[in-house]
Amino acid sequence: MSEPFELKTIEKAKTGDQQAFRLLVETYQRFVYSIAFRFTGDEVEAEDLVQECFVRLWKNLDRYNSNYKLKCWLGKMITNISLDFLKSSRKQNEKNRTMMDDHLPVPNPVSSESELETSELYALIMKLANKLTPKQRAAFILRDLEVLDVTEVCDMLSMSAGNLKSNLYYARLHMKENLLKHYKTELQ
Amino acid sequence: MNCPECEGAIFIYRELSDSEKQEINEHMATCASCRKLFNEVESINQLVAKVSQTGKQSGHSVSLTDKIMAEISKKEKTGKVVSLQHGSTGFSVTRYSLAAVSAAMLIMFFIEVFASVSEPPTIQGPIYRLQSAVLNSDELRKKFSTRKERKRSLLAECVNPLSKQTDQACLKEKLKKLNF
Repeated sequence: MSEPFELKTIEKAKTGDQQAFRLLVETYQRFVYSIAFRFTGDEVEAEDLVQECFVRLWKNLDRYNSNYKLKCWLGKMITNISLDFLKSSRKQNEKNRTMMDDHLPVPNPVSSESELETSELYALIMKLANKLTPKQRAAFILRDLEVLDVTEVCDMLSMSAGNLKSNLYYARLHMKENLLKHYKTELQ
Repeated sequence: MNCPECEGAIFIYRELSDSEKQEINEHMATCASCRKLFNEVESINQLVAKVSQTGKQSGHSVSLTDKIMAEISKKEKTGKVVSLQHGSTGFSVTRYSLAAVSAAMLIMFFIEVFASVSEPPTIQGPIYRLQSAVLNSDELRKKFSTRKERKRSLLAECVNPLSKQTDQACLKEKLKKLNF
């Protein structure tokens, strides 16, 4: 969706046009779902968070500032919703960890060998990401898995570039140490 | 640039400016351990990049979009019902009448408070207390004398005209009747 067309669609949606809003949902649903799924590791929970995110967007569309990209606003919203969700379920930490392990993508039996490897690697990376602090995890998900710009990630996480770099440093160091350890163990 | 600085920067190489990258490249050209670390980090970054496409939706899920739109329609309807209820005449009448009653009660309260404040007692302090004591004693005396009078009249009624003596039984009975 081009920027002028997006702005027109937002203006229409602000007046209560649900068709225009549906167009916005269709454009950004994949992006929002992807972030939610990286945080939760569960399809159903991710869908619930996506739903909550778009309902919030609909309610607060009046406050939308056109100087700010809608993608960034949605990214910020879904990151906050996901972090709140993880915080609220922290009490059930142990249970969650088991759930996360259960919900990590199960390799498809008909997948090719490379697909199987990628799927296992993804499961391992997500398991390691779950052990990061919320900020490190958010920085890692948005920058390394979603491959968003530094400025976009800084906007979404409301942090300075220096702070983002610091969080990325610890996240990547954790990934490197644990992945190397994993592969060394596998080779032995 | 020294090794510890370079080691830290290697992990965020992609986020560095061109001049910072140039500094690291120059250091790595002469430092084998930093070069080794750089290669390790790069291989991990490549692995992460490889899996970054996993777990993404291939397109927008129509069922999820429908669910979101249904939720929004539901919220819209609820919002309209609430606003209609608030906008109805009945609601306004109740609201305004309650407000009027509250205001009237508030005014009455203030009138009462100010009236008691603006009317200072005519007799204050020890004089007031003295006056009150005098009034009380007068009243008590009056009450006492009335009692005495009545008792005297009762005695007179119970006196035997012949012996000029008081009939105690008659007196007792009369006192009992009058609750003395």
